[in-house]
Amino acid sequence: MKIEIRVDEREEDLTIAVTCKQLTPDVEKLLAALRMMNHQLTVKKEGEIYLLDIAQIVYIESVDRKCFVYTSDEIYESEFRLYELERRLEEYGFMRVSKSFLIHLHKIQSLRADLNRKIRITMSGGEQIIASRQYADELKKRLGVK
Amino acid sequence: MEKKGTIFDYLSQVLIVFGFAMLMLNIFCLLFGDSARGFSGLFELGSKGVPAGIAFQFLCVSALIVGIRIVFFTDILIKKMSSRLRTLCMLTAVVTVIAAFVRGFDWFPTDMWQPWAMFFVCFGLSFLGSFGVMSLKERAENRRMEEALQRWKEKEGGKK
Repeated sequence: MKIEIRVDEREEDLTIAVTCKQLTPDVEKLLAALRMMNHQLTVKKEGEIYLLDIAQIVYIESVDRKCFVYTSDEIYESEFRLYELERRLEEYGFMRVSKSFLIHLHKIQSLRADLNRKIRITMSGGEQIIASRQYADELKKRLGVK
Repeated sequence: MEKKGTIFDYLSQVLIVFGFAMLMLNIFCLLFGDSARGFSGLFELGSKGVPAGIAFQFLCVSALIVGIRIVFFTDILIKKMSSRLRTLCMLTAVVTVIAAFVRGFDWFPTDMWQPWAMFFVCFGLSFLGSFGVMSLKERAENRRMEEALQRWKEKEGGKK
């Protein structure tokens, strides 16, 4: 893989051009990572690729090593693993709350203490997600409860 | 990292329950020991204190109660159950265990209603007290989390 950087003072916007023989999964992943810088997540639904505004995401669930992205009315699939999404989306207000859930903190409707120091999180659409004990403490720290 | 309950956590809880029960029982011995000496095995020594055998039986009850609490108030064995049903099951199990010890070890005459009434009054008051404290603690915790969430949203919203 060659990386070419061209500095041109006349350019007003940053342009990233990718030249490749074909769109391999690796290239698609690279493009998805670049799009994330533009507050967009590349997702798939029924074989079609969509560019989803990160602000629309309510939560992300990992099932059998596949990641499903939930918005208020649609479910998409992401090529990324949950740990990759966790790392990339942290700065946009996302947080891991259990082994299989990554939630958008801006989309939390309410929080309730649950059994065994866990936290029951109600998301904006009414979905309930349980933050495990380990992540519940982290969540409290992030919100500034502790 | 997640802190898992160990045998030492269990033992410390057993000793807390046992210590509290012994404290209460010794207070009852001081207050009613001499007058109840003839009726109850618990007050065999009158106002002098609790017999060693009874203390050991209370230790067993404490161990069972903590075990019951772990069964119904954690999700180690029971994953999905409403908190109301958990409370009801725990209450039933605890009363059953204590009633079995009352009958098995003649803590008090089971054919008289007065000791049973006293037992249920004491048990009810202890339960209501601990349940009230737990509810207040939970409500305060929920309020703190809600307030923190609102503060976080305002702060993060302001950054955009």
